[in-house]
Amino acid sequence: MKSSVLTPSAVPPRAAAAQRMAEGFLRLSARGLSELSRRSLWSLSGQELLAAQAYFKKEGRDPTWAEMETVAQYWSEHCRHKTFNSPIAYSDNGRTRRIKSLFAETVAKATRDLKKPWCLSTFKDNAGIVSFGKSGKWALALKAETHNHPCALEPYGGAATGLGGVVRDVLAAGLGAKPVLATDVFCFGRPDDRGPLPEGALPPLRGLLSAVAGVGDYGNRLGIPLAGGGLWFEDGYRLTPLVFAGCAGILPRWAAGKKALPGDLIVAAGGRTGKDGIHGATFSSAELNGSAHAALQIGHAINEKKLLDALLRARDEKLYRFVTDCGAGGFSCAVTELAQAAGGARVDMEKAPLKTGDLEPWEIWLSESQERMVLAVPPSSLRALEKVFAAASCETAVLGEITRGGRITVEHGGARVADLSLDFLENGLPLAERKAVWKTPKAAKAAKPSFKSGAGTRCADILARALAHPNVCSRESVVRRYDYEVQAGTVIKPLQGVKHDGPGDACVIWPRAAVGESEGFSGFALAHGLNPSYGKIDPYWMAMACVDEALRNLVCVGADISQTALLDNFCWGSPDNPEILGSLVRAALGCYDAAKGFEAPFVSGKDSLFNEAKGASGKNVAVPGTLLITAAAPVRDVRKSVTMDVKAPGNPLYLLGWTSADLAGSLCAEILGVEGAGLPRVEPAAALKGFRAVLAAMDKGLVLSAHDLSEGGLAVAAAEMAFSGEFGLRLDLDAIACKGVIYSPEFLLFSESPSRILLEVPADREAEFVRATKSAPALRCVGRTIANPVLKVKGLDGLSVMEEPISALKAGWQKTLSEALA
Amino acid sequence: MSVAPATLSSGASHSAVSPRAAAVPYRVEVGLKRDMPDPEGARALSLLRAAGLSAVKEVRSAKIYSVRGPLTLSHVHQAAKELLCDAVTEEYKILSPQAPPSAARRTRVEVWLRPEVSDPAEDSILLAFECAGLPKPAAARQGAVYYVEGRVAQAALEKAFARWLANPLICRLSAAPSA
Repeated sequence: MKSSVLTPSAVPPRAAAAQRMAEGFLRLSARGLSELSRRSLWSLSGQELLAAQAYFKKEGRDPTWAEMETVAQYWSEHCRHKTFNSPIAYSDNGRTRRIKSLFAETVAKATRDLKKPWCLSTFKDNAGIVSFGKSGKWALALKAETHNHPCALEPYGGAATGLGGVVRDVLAAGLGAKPVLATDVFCFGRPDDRGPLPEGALPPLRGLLSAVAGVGDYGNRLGIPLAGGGLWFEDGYRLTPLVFAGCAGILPRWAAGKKALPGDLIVAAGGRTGKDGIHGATFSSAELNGSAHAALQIGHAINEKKLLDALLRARDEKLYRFVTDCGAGGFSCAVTELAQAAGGARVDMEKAPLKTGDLEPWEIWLSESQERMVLAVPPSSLRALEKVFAAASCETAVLGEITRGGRITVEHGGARVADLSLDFLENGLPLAERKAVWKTPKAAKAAKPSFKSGAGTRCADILARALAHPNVCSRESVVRRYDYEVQAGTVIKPLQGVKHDGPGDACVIWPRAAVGESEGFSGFALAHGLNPSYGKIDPYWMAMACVDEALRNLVCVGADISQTALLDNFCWGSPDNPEILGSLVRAALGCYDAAKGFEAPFVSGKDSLFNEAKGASGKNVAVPGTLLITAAAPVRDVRKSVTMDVKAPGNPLYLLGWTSADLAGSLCAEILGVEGAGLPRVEPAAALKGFRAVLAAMDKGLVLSAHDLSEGGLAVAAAEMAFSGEFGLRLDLDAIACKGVIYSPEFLLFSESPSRILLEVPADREAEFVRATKSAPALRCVGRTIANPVLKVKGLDGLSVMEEPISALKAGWQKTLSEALA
Repeated sequence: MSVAPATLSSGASHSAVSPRAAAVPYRVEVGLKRDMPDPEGARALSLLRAAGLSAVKEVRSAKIYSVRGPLTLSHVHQAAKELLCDAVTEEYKILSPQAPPSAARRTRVEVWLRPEVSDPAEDSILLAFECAGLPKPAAARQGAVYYVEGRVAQAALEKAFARWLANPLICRLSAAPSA
């Protein structure tokens, strides 16, 4: 059937705009439906279109455009996580098994199995909520989001609105949490990349500069400390960068739940609705093709700040019963979510405050204009709520009311725009079985490393190159763009040491401004784990390593990891490719095992798929499968927090954890072009034992500094501790606890074996430390801090492997990014 | 603070709102004083050189505002002095819409958000006029101006700007010779 039959009905102009019907929709063939979906940017599959057609056949009428747009938004990958919820035929090295729902059987299953009583709300709200503090009065909301597709096209606006969106997620957790920490993690192509790019693609450096500026300009205006995050550079992100934004907020425990009731008024609050951001949700379900410019927008941080202030005041006065943010899909998703929770809703789009008068009703319904939230307000509280918002110069408008009918009804000035069954929207989405294939690559199977000692390269040279590598070098030139001190609760800051420029492992927040005196010195720490290099070899072990890294970062600052809450962010290419889906499945399985092994449940998360773009050759290029793990845990007494810089000469240095010949996917392997060595394999039970022992020692004040071993291994960690504290270190490689026999100093210095932490112990309390950490499986004294400002390493044969001035090491470490971003 | 007489809009009376003034936006350019360091200009210079335009010698940056509404020239001067410009470090000029191009010593590049993209600065500008006791404009936009010194072909400069300093998906840019 020709698409020309899909024309507006012959009705008066204003009502026509409201009622535009997809006439002839019921008669369209499968091919015609697909063509219509493609032209309309719905990103719906053939099966989904047929399900929608069958529904409207039952209703006995063609859908309106707004109804089809609602279906497309609500059923988008972005909103419904179809890949994670669909059945998958998963072939692992030729053995096939059926996964009913990847989400339910991995990430969510770990949370269910662990049954942690401090998890107050997981996976059902805009953010995960866990208990906080000693009094039982408070809770902590946690969320991390991605904004990859917008950032690929417009990194400044994309990064800014990404941060704005995740802040609103936390504001909409329960009845609203006060944001006390924001984070950002960027994955971009290398900043010095000047290679050919397809038309319209931005150079990686330009993208990075704009994203940093976007987060800084937006975040700094909000008054939320931006104290956590990370950067990862690699060629796989040159066309499709990944931009993660996270937020943590404090809310009273009584506000952790919410329930709207029939008769409640549906109130829109915050910014006005404009043409910006239309089709954002469905845009996220498609590969980048440069045709979705309407989804781009610039955020308005001041509007968000006004909204934030007014909302929290209204929460404390208990003026509303439900709140959700207008994110992907705008009102269409927010109001439908609200309706789903309450049993039905009726709204009039003519009541929505608009930026311009030229919006069609379906555009108002779908617009993703930023800084808007939707509330369910008891009629008796409306006047008081309007007063609170007006006092903050924040606009509100009553759009409609909660009903009991099980339908979402949208009108515009008396004309019906949409009338849909909530049951159909929620349960009508057909989930087709997908195919996933995983074949273990050779590099992951290699039992013995093929690394040949140094090939004449001195360890000192490798260290210098490792420190200057974009994935290790100083992030100060980015971190300084953000206000990480606002709210005066950032106890452990992103930059540490004598000159406040050393690389911290995790931030510690004391949210006193939010909780007042009631919690004493209770705080929380937040850290990340990310390493896509491992994922190229085996995403299962990447997932394990990411959780391990996030946890050991928390240990380094003294957080109580027995109450660690995890967030997952999966960023992959098209799951329609069975190999890409296979690697995603493998990562999700790793997440399950890691969460179970470390007894750390996931409380929230998000997947971003279809991160692909056409390269200069016209071929589709997918990002490397990337998993960001965010971990948060309480710090019982923020005064006992530990930083990473060495504090004094003469103190013994202890290395926690076994060292193996793990160089596959490592920084050293990349620098030297080594392949085929073992991938770091996490053993959660042993790791936990070691972490707990170290935390017990920290609690007694027996650890002066602690730094995790990640990219670049022991050598990089030792150098960073030394130059941040401005004292030298002496390391004895023969003292390291090794798994297997290792003869090469390169392995010992640059191995990235997991679960390892380098600790500085006060010399006069060493015996006490040893007693306190008796249960740690592999904890050895490997050296000492020294007054001479050099990093000295003694090899297995007793001869010197290197002796480098820490000032030179620091200079190389500081140069890369500051020069690239200058 | 200084007002460049050559570019002072002369079409509107200082006290009465002419119909033209209400329909045609006033354009106010606010730049750093010559002796003030210009980090945004330095950043632009570095990026243009990274883009291969080694002939670019210097870049100075400025902000530009477009304000439309029931305003007299006096109103706009007052707003420029009191709201848009930091008297210690910046100076402003009110541009005539028909300012003739002069000898091309440098190239002036103007960058604006496309009209369909919401400008977050607009709300603040409108509110600030109101708070300062001025008539509230009907519309306002904020853009950026770069003065690029050096012999560079205009097309090459526009291409470099589009790639490094102004995203054509959301911005419009125009380059022209300037005194």
